[in-house]
Amino acid sequence: LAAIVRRTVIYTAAILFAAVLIHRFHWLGGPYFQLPGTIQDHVWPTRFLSADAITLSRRAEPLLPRGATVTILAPSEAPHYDQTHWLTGLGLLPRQHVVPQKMTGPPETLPQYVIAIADPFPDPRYRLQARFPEGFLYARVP
Amino acid sequence: MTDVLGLLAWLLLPAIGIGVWRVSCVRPLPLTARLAIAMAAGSLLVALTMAAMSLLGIEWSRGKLLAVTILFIAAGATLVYRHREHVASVAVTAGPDRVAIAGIAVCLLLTFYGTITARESCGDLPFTWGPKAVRWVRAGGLDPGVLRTWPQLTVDYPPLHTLLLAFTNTVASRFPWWAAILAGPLFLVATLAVIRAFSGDDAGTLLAAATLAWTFALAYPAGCAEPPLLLFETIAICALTFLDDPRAQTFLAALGAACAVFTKLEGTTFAIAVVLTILLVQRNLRRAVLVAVPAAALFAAWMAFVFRNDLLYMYRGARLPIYWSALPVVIKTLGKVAAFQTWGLPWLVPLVLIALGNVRRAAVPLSIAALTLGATVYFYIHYPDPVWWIESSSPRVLLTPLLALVIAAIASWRKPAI
Repeated sequence: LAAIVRRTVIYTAAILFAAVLIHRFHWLGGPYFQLPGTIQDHVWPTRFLSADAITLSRRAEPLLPRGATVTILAPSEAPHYDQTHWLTGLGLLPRQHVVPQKMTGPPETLPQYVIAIADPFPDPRYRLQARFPEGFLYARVP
Repeated sequence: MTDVLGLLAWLLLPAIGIGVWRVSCVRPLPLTARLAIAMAAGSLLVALTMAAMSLLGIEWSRGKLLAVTILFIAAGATLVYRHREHVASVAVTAGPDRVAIAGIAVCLLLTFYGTITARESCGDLPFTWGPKAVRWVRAGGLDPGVLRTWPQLTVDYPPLHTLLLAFTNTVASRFPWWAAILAGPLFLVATLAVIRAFSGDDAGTLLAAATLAWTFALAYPAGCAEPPLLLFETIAICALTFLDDPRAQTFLAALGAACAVFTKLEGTTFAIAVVLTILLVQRNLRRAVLVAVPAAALFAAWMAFVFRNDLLYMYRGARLPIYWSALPVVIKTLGKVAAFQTWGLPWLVPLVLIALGNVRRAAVPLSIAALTLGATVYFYIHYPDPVWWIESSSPRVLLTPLLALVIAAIASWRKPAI
């Protein structure tokens, strides 16, 4: 009898955990049977800016010179930018020099390129270089 | 192509560690367990080799790492081939429970689905683990210069997982992000293989599979260090719990503890919990020393590197004051996270099974579960306001005591050896 009780407890728990797992996958949103663009696409029902940071890094990479200083930021968060965005660039732009989002100081100390997530980056020291579905690439005005 | 090569690099780990099959106490284990143990051994070998190359000033490259890899595989395979006499398997399964095995397969498929559709990706991979591995690869080795300028708290974090990521990056030429997260389910398969092979309990393994499948979805471990850490911990706990051969217990607990120490900060507290359990529950001083020595040696080597290069940061947390006033908040917040959105069922189910079974047979994993849970609380009371920290990290940290508890539930129903 004890063995039957044990099996019943385990099978019930397994069915319950599988059911809540499927429910969670559904709650995280679709598409459900399509390979996502980034590893962050479905970690939450609303899209994380980090997913856009990954996509934008990939899109901007061919346009960036080797060794150029670059940062990634979401203009809507100014002046307290999310540090994880430029840190994400550290891994995705290995041929460039990805730097923190320090946007104050003499022009020559600013990053040569800014990847702006979602919104435009209206800074007179930068000019728009490329527009992507997820954001923008700016280059520092010489 | 990058991710295919990256995945192949992860899949090479069991082949790289195949030499461990030569160890007499590993040879009689079922094939699935031997593959999982070889995966752990391969992980440690790769990490130690890459670290040693850096210390010797040998720059990493695809050619050099593949040459070393081939050397390990050839040497390991030769060792195993030369000592291939038939050994009776220690498998204790009475006959497969097909329903449970089907259930395990469903849990694994769900985890694979969740990972491949980016529903379980670790948030720390794109901005911590991944970039650090990429920077090491660009620097050609485990470069203290990269760590000295590292903009995060994890400068002195144990290097095994980052080195494995750097290994896959070197093999694939670019960082294989998808392969990095798919390593999560791969290590989960190995973890379940160890539990099933050592316990011979398909229904118990189903409980572990279902519990981990669900808690993985909330803990987001894919791409982070928890999946390998859980494999290493499982090898140690299951060896001490289910194996009758004293040499196998000692060897595999030592391997698991050493790998854990080199993987995560929490791996050190796990190793201490294992050693204390061997002393207090098994009352075996000799085994405790033998298990502690390799882990302590790896810890000492890493700390020597950290001190020599002035990188001490996170380990310094042990010197922080304890905020006893934060204890109620820590317990309340941890309790909320530990409920895993299912009223704490991942904990309650194994506790019920232990209560219905034989508690004494579960003493070893229960002790490890209690000690690692206690260590988790101890960590968090070092901050006056730890709520954010607990909410962001504890879903993953709690997987260790939870898994130990599930293994205790399996052990409590283990039939005594005839």
